[in-house]
Amino acid sequence: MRWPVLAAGCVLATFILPAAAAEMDNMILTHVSIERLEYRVQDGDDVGFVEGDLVIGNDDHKVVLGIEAERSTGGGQFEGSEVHLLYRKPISDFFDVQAGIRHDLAPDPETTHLALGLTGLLEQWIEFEGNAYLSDDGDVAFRMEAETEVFLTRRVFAQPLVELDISASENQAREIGAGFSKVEAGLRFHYVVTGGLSPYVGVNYEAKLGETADFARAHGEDTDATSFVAGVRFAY
Amino acid sequence: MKLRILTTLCLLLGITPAVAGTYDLEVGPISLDVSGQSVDGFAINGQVPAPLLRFKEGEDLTINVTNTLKVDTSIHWHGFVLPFDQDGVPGMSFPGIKPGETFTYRFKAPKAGTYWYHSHSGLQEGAGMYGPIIIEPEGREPFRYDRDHVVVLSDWHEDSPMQVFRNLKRSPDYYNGIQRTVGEFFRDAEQDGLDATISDRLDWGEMRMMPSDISDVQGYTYLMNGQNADQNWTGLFAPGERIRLRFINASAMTFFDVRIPGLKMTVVQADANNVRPVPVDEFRIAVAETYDVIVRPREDKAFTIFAETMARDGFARGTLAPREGMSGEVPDLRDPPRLTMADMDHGSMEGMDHSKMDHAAMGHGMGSMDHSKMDHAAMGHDMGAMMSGEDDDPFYAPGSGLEPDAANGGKFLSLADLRAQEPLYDERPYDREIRLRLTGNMERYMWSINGKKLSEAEPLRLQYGERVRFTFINETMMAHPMHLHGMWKIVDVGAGKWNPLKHVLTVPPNVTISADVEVDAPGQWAFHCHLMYHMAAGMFRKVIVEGGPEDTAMIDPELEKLWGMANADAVSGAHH
Ligand SMILES: [Cu+2]
Repeated sequence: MRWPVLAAGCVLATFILPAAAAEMDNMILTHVSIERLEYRVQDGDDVGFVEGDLVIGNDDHKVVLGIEAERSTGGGQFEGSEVHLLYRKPISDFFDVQAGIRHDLAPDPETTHLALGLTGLLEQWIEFEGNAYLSDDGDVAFRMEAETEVFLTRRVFAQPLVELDISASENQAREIGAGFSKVEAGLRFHYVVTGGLSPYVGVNYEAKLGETADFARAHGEDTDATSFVAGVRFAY
Repeated sequence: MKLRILTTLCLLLGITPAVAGTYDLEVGPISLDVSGQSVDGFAINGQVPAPLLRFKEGEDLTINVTNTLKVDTSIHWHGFVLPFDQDGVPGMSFPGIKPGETFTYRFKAPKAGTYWYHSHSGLQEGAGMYGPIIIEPEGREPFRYDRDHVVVLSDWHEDSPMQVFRNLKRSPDYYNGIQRTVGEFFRDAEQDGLDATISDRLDWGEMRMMPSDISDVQGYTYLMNGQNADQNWTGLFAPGERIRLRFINASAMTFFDVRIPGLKMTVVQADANNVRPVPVDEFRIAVAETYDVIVRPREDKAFTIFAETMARDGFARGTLAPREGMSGEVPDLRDPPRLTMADMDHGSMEGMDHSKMDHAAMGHGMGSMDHSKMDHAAMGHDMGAMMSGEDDDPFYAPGSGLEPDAANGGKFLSLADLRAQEPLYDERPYDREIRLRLTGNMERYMWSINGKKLSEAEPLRLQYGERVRFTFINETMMAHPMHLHGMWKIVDVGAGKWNPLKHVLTVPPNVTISADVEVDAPGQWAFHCHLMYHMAAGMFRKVIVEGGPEDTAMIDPELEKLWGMANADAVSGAHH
């Protein structure tokens, strides 16, 4: 199990941050944000999904412990679940560079990746995150996420979101083919209760692509799913 | 009668009988319900605002401040000219007041005027720790009034100041409830055309700035003398009396536009300095400023004192009435302003140096920005302001969306209207200029001066006896009320020796303003933006005045370290 190692790493990283920076303009703050905690109604078994992170740091250095997990109501097992631990540092007004590890607990087999990426705000208010991964099997993969918010009224905003996975190589054991492997697109409508709490409803579409889809078909699995989602975003 | 003759004699001989007073203040926790929910805060003598202190000009003051909190505290005498070690800034003038401790402030009351006091520890001033001060004059004042009322404006949040700060750091638009909507897009498209509206949206998106970014924190309950709009603070008058209203903006983050429908206000003092009377219909009061106005209600009826926030997200309200229990009509909030492209930093555009309608100046220094886009963006909504020519306030960028208009179409006070009643200093050329760019990164909620936060910057060193010109160049999209402790800023409004003196100078977006400082106060002083969260995020400098009659070597090097620690303590302990 690599979990304890990961947890220990997180705690350690918190302490090696420049703790001397006691001044308010550089104080270390801790933030928890759950970007998506949602229930997905779709053909077959419904799915519970959570994505969020814990960020500890000041303006110059941050440590991010993130989680993304998907659990089917039918089988009771995780469809996918990963945690990542990253160090993040600003490189421009709007962008941070980040590096660390990502560990996939599900699906089998468990895999650990080195991660290197960028996160920030593109023009036209598009939030972007792109990471490159190198797995312990030697596979190279990329993931890009983009989202934005469009205010319909002062309290309601639409949040389109896309996520794209690309793999540089094929991995039989993990049933991932080379090339585009997965796409996800969503449109959620949030109601702003406070700046830190917004329940939402929306639709989400997920599809395996290319050879990855072939793997799924070979196992008689669905290659795509459209779901109606209801959930909440909150941050503290 | 004998006493009177004796006093007159003393005055004639230049001997002022010593006036001395001892005052006791106690800082403690309070739970306040002004927003419909009980919220913890900080109080002085159990009051929010803290009690009104009335001192005599030149009075020898002994003020004992006892801290009954579990965290450090301090009291800063805003706008006072006093020895720096009595100024009350932890880590700069003294170590702060520890829990259970009593600190005794000893200094002479400064020149007459309206002042205020507040905590300078952590974020305590944002949770109730502020109060008014009146310094009564020794002699006659250059204006007459029959009675006066203090009007303390403030903002009160249900989230603790530390929580607000955390939320801003994580998500700078957390408290922005007036974002541009799709509905607004269609309205603008109808008004300005679809192409113009689309390119306007793209321009803002390109810069990753929001024209709705008028104030960082909304959702406050706005208070007048500690009372919310429904509680309706009331000041009494007898018809025909001249009433002096001493407005003090003790808010953490809120600018107010103040008017009293039905009454002309005559501004007679700004930041404790008498000015040549200016009759106005409305004025904007920045955080930490004070304005004294005289009104003369002749009718036997109630008048509403209406203090609308600059972002139009709420208002503080009170009433001037001949009797208790009356109320006047309360106006509706006006539409929220929107910043225009003119409020963007164009590098070299200087507020006072160009004529308002100079289009060449507008194109100047805009770098890669497409000029055709620029024009309609700036002109779109503010055609009126652009065309009104000389009515424009020279202390806003030409075409600025922030530039105010009086609700009744009348006179709105400008900084340019202020003239010192009696200049405190002789006019002389400045010895050197210090250029301070007001800088920041809105997305990260970092605020700085010349790109450096307090923790990253060297102190500014001034020499005793010199006259320094501070030139503020605002490169951000927000107005910053800059406050220098211990010394007056003689603001260059182009009036030479009649330039007004201020302790807070507001620099609107994309505007450059200069102010001269006679460096006559040895010691080390705080210099910062008075928006509390900008100050906390780093828009702050320490100023060290070297030389002078008092030995500045008395500055304890330990204080340097304490600055950080005192604040960190006060912050982590805020809200108990
Ligand atoms: Cu500021």
